[in-house]
Amino acid sequence: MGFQNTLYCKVLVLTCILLLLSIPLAGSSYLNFLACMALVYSIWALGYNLLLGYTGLLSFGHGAYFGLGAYTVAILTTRYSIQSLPVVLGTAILVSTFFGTIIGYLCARHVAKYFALLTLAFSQLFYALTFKLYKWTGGSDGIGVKPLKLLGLEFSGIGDTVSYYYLVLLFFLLSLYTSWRIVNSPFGKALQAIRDNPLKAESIGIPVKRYKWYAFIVSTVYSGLAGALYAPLFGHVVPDLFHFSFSGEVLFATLLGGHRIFIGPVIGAIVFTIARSYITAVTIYWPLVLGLLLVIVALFFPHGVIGTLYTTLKGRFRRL
Amino acid sequence: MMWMLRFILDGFFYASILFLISSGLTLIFSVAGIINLAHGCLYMLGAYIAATLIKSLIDTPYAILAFPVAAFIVGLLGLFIERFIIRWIYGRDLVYQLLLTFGLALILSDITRIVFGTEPIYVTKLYINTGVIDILGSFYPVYNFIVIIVSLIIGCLIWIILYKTRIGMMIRACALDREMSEAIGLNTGNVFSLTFLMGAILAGISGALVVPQSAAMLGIDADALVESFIVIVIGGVGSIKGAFIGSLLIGLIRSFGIVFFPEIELAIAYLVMIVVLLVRPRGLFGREFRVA
Amino acid sequence: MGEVSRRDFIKGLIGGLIVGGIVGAAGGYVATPPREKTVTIEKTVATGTPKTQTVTVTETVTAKPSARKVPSKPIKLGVITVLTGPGAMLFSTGLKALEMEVEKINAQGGILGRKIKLIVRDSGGKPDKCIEHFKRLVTEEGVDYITVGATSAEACALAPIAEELGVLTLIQEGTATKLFEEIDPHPKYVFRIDNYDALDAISHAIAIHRTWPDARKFAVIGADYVWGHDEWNIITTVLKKLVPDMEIVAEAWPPLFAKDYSAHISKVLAAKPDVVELCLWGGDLVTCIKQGIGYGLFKQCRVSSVTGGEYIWGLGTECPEGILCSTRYYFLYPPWDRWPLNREFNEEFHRRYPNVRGGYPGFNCNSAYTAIHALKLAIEKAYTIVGGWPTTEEIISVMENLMVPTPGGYRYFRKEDHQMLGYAVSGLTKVSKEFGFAILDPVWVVTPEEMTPPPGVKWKEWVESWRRKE
Repeated sequence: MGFQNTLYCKVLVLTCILLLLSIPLAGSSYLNFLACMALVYSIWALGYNLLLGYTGLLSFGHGAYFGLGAYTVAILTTRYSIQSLPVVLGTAILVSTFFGTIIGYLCARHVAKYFALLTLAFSQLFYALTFKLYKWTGGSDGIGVKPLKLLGLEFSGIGDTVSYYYLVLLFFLLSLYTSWRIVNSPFGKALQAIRDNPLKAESIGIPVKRYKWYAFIVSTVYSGLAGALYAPLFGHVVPDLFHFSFSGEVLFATLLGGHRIFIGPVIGAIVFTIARSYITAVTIYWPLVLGLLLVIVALFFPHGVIGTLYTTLKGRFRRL
Repeated sequence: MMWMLRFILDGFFYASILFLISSGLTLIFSVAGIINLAHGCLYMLGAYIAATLIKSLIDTPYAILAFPVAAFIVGLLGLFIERFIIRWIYGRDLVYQLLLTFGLALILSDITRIVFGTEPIYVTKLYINTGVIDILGSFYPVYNFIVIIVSLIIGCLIWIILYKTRIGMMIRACALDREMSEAIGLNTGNVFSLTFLMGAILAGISGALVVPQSAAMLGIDADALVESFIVIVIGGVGSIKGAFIGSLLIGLIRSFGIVFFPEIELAIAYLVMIVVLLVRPRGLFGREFRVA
Repeated sequence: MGEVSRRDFIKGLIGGLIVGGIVGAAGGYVATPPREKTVTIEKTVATGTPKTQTVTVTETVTAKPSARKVPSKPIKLGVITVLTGPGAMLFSTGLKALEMEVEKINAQGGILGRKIKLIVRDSGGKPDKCIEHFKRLVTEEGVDYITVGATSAEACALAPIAEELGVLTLIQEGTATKLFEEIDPHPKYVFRIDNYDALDAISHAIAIHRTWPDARKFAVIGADYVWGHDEWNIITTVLKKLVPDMEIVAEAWPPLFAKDYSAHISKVLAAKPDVVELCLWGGDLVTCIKQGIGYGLFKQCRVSSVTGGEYIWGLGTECPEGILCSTRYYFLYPPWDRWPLNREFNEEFHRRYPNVRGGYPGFNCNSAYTAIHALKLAIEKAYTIVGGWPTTEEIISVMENLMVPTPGGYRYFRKEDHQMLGYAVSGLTKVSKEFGFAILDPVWVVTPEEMTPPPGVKWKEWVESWRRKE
């Protein structure tokens, strides 16, 4: 059975990768764009879920690190004309990780609701600052982003979206792999122990606060990467990225897929991106529809849509 | 000197509105344990309802009734939301509570837009007709004094209800330990409903009080919510006294910040909050909280 | 028609068949871009010479086949605007005016017989949604042209994408100065209708000086974001040129969408300025004026506002008199008896939407009107020139020098930077019992020549280059 399982698993993963690789073959630049967006959200949600699903910490301010990554790219490419891909992406991740380290240290001492409130407040602080430091950040008008360059190729979501899609896909697969490794490492298991029972974890010698802090830092690395990839995709960034309602989107995407399943956030992010794109195109009452969706998920899908489907299906199969 | 006095009064005025919003938020939080992200929308709705009522009643003496009526309607809405929606998720994970109230906030703000339209609603007459008084040679609007006094009265009322009545005792018991309260025979469900009613009324009345001197418009919900978060984090989550001191602090910081350090006025509130959390993680008047 | 030789006739027939066939094929192949393949046809033309003489002229025409015939299906016009969130109050009235005008045009048969179909998308004021909608409208919905009534941030985000995708995009608002100064300095597909922020500020500063030439001490209460600071920066730069001994005595910067301005008003009043400028818009401006009444602001100094115009309607008859307001379009100017187009537009709007913001169109309604009529005029003009349904490029080349009669008078696009030029209106508030709110009376205008930098010149360089006339 075990062998078959892994074989199925491998086939499934391979099919998914092939499917992802073949998206640009459809030749629709909008589809590529949407796929890029879904994958960027996926990277963000993957990192976010290390904190939410695996450590049990609810952040309502992860837009801050996403925004820091995006703004770093925008400022480097536009203000300083540095467009080298590795330099820009590297700096963006460094900047967001740097702030993540400091803020994570301050936040990790708190639990549950206080943690959520504190992260929310910090992201609003960044929101206020981006508004205020308009000479640098462009304020509410935002700031444009120039394409990234590597080996003579240009990467951006404005012109040739195919190359940018493959870039995002590469980083997505990398993120998927690394977070899989993290989750299954001793560190990942320790995080899950903290999530399930912090007191017990403390008593068996896990440094709870420090590990929470580490988890926070790791999740900001992913957020920074996602933000850095988001910026050239849209070619423009605005302070809204720091607003708590934007952080709410990643929470929603993660829960939509199910935060107790490894792949849940990815599926959630993809479904969320596609659904939102269609809802906003179809009706101007999209906040209402989106809100209703949120309420429905919160009330009736305790393990996320995918998680709930999975458990009900499993229950049915077992009965057969 | 008289300019100083004005800034203090401005600070008091801002603080009194902030206090009404944040006390409702902190009450719901301490009793039911819910971070109500839809609280700002209740405030906005209170503003819209009051504005519409005042506008249609402006030439009659009944215009004053708009305030209690708006508060009452919003209170009922809060009660409704608690009874039929939030009730389902009390025992559940924090994430679902936040997701739910976030969804409710989206729905409520969109319904506000659908019902009242995208245009702001202004009521000018009431504010102007209450007149101005002369303090040491400079004008000051009477309406601001009324708001400060009303807010103080409501603050006293909350204190009396919480500490001098049987209902207040029940509310405090629930806030302290829900399971224990249930064990000694309290109907915690009713207490929660009552708390939501009170919290929503407070949000509604603060929205209504803001209308005559400003306007009912879209987008005021998010700002109010974030500012009251700062207040309750500084004052200590779950403490009415904390909300009072916190809003006073923010109000005064803001009005003096405009004069003395305008560049970082907006950020200074956040900085105060961060300092408080570093020095005293549970806020100025917060209880020691339990893990889990 | 004179006699045509048989051979030529057959040639013409065959040529016609080829063209017809290709047009038909192109009609069927909507998705494919216009083919580069060109056909050479011989056309026989009979001239108006006397009967006895028949002249046969053979000319070679290179035609892009798909450009000739007017398609029968409606024109798809994508509209991206803000209908939700706090920005909605700025743009929702513009959409109403646009719908009104499109309905009117369609009732008269559309553009060259083609009806206009609006595909409206709400961006919620968020540039990322705006970009998403734009891409979707172009690639999935296949819209022909796009008009955008959205914020500065959205316009700045959209312009590069519109240029890249090659879609004619009319930006109604989105009046960031940097759009054509920095982001898109040589636009091809992007046009902007309304006066941009720098023009607002320059014209307003000129108006302040004309109204109160004796004012020396200035103060500002401005929205604390890039627009507020920019406007104040431009106003003071211009005022310094006009009044070299002016001084700024106080600045107060409330955040955008603030609900309480009391501390800011207190601060400004403490400095005893001659003129207080309110760099605010929408509900913020109304709230600030209202609280200013309570603080005796209007008794102690003169007040001006760079946006004023229509927002003060929200104050009803309580509006203080004598505030200097500037605006891009004012519903009573040009006077209705002198410019019937303005009267018709206002009456029609008032009849349809008596409860929308005072019941009269604002500046974004005028720009919506201008956008759709500029498009109509450009297409019709291009049609008469090229003799068929024009391509986007042909429309653009016509539009680049187009003069459009709008409710606010004639306005025209400038070829170099695709910016439409029109005058700005300023005036002092005066409560009108007839309208139930304060109108501007007297009104004066600042002409485009007075306030617009030459193409390619940034406002700052231009203002710095002003010399005083002795």
